[in-house]
Amino acid sequence: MRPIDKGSWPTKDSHATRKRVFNDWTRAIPYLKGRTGRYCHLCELKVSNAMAIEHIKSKKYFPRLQAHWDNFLLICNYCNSHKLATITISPYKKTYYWPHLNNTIMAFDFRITGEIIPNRTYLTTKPQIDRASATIDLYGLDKVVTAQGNSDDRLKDRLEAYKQAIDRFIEFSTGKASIHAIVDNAKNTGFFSVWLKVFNSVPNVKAALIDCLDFHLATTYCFNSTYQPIPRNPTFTADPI
Amino acid sequence: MRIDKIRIKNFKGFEEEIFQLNPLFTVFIGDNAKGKTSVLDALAVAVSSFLRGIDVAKHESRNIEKNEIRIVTKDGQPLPQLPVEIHAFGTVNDISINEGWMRTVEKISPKKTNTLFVKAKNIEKVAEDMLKLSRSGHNVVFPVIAYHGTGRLWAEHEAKKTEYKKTGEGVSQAYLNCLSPKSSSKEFLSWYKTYEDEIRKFDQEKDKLLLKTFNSTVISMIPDNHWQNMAYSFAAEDLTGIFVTPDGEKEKLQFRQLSDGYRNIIGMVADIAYRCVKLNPHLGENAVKETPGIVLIDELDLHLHPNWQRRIVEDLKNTFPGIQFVATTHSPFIIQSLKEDELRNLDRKIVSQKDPKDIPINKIITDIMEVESIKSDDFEKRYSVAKLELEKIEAARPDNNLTMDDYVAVSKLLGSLLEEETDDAVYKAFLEKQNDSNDETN
Repeated sequence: MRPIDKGSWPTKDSHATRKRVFNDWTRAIPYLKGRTGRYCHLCELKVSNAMAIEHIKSKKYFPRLQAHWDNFLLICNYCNSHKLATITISPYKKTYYWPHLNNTIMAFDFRITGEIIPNRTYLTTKPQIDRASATIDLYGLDKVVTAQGNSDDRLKDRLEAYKQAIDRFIEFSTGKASIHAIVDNAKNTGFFSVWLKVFNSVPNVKAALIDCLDFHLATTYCFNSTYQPIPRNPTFTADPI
Repeated sequence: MRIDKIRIKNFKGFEEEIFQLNPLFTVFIGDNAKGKTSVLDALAVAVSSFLRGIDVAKHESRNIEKNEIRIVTKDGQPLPQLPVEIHAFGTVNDISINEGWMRTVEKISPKKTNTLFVKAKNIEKVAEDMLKLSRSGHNVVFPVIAYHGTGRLWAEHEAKKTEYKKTGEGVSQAYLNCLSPKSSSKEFLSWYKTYEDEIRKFDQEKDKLLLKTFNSTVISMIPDNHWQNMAYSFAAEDLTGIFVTPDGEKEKLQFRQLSDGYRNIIGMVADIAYRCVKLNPHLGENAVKETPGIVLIDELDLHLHPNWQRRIVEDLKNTFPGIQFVATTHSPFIIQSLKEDELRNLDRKIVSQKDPKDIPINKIITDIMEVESIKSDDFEKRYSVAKLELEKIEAARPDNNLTMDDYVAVSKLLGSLLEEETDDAVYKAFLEKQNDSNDETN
C-alpha cells in the first residue's frame, strides 16, 4: 500500500485561510486525485474515472464527519463496496494501518500469489500483525475471485501487474528494458507495491519508482536517502510504523 | 438543461437511491423488474418540473402517480411508504441549481394526484423567466425534453389521419406529449406535412434551412445512406424516401413500410429533431446541434440489429451533442459501446472499473450482465492450482529473494493463468505467443 500525504484541508479560492466546504464530498475527489494520484489508496488499483470517497468513520454513525477532509480516502469501488458491509472500529488510528498516517509499505506484503498479507519483515509483534490484518479484512483486500462475484478484478489485475513487473525484471537483467520503460509500465498497471517488491534488489529502478511523481509517495516521511522504508511515527514507540 | 444527480425515495421499487448521471450519456442496465424504467420515470418527473414554468405546456408536466408510491406489505396489508421524494440536482439555462429541486408526496388524499411542487419553485422560476424573455422578442435557447418509452412503436399503429398542423408558439408544440412514454411520430409527421407545403408555397429561406437541417439530421442517423431523399408524399399521406437495399437497389418506400428497426430510429430521431427545430428556430442550421435538453429512452436496443446497436450511442451523441441522454438496455453490444462512466448497473453496487469498450462481449455478458456460465468461468479452479505452484516457489526462498529462474517460472505460471482472463486482445495474443515460445525452449 502506497504511503501517501493528503496534505492539509483545501482552502477556498477566494479566502486562502478558509476551509473549502465538502457537503458534497465528491467535490473532494479532484483534490485527492491531484495530491495522491489516480490509484486506489488501499488496493493500488489504477482507476481513471469511477472513484469513491471513503469515509473512514462511517457517515451514518458520524454524520458530523461526512464533510471532514481528515475523514476522506480516495478508493476504488471494489474496496468501497466491500467496506459498505463492515464498520471501522474505534479508535481507528490504532486499530488499523492507514496509507495517510502510517508507512504502509512496511505494513503490507504483496505475495506473488496475488494475496495481500501483513509484512512480517517489518511487523514483529502480534499486535502489529493483527493491525495489518484488520485493515485487510476491513476492505476485503485479500478477497479471492469467485465464479459468482467475478467482477472483483483486484486480484486478477494484481496478478497481471506481477506478471508484467517480472517480465520487465527479466528483460532488464539482459539489458532489454530501460528504467523509463519500466516506470511507465508501472504507472500503467498500477500496483506500485508489486513493482517495488520485484525491483527491490535493483537500486536505480527502485529509486526511479519511488521518485516517480505519479505515485505521489510520502517520500519525506517514509523513505531515507538510500530509499529504505523508515517508520513514519518514530515518536510512537509502541508501533512506530 | 442537465441533471447531474437524482435522489429517489419511496418511488416505485426504490427505498432510497442516489444516481449520478453522466453529462452526455447514461445507460442503466439490470435484470427485469430492477427499476430501469422507474429511474426514467423518476427523471421524467424531475425534468417535468421545468414545464411547470411554461404556461402553455404546464399540463404536460408529469406527476408522481398514486400507484408509483412504494408499497410495503405487512401482515397482508399494503402500506404505502411516505414521503415520496424525487430530488434532482443540475443545471438549467446555464444556471446551476445547487440546492436541487424536489417533488414530493407527503400525504395521500382521495383525489387522483397529490404531488407537491413547493420545492421546485426555483426551476419553475427559471423557466418562467426564459419564457418571458422569449415573448419579449429575445432569442432564448429552450431545452428539449422527450421520453421515448417502449410503447413508441405501438403508438404509431393507432390509425389517425395526419392533420395539417395549426401554427402556434414553438414551446407549446415542442413540449406536446413530450413526457408521454408513447410519444409518437404523428406530431412531427403533421408538422412536416404542413411545413413542407408552406415552404413550397412561400419559399422562405429560413424555413427551408430548418427543414434541411431536420432532413439531414434524420438521414444522418441511418447508417450507410440507406434512406435518402426524404419528403412528404401527399398521395400516400406519409413520409417517403428512397430506401437503398444492401444490394444497392433503390426502392421508393413510405415511412410506414419500413421495418420496425428503421421506423423506431427514424421516429425517435425525427421526434427529437422536430422538437429542437420548434423550440429554437432562431439557431437556424444549428438548431439540432446546439439545442440542449434531456432525452429519456427506454430499451434503446429495441428492434435493432447488433451492428446497429454498437453504433447507436455514438450516433446519438454526434447528432445531438447538446443533449443529455439517459437510456436503458438489455444489449451487451450497447454496453460494450459505452465509456467507463456511462454505465449504471442496478443489479449491483459494484461498478466495473474498466471501460466497457475494453471488455470482450463474453465478459460483458458474464461479468456485467451476470448471465451465469455461458462460458464456464473456471478462473477460481485454475487459480487455486497455480497458487499451489507459486507458493512452492515462494517457500523455497524464505529470504524473499527470488532467483531469475524463479521469476521465469512465475512469469510462465501467471501467463497461462491470465491468458483466458485478460480483457486485452492484443495482450492475450502476446501471452499466447510467449507461452508457445516457452514451450519450444523447454
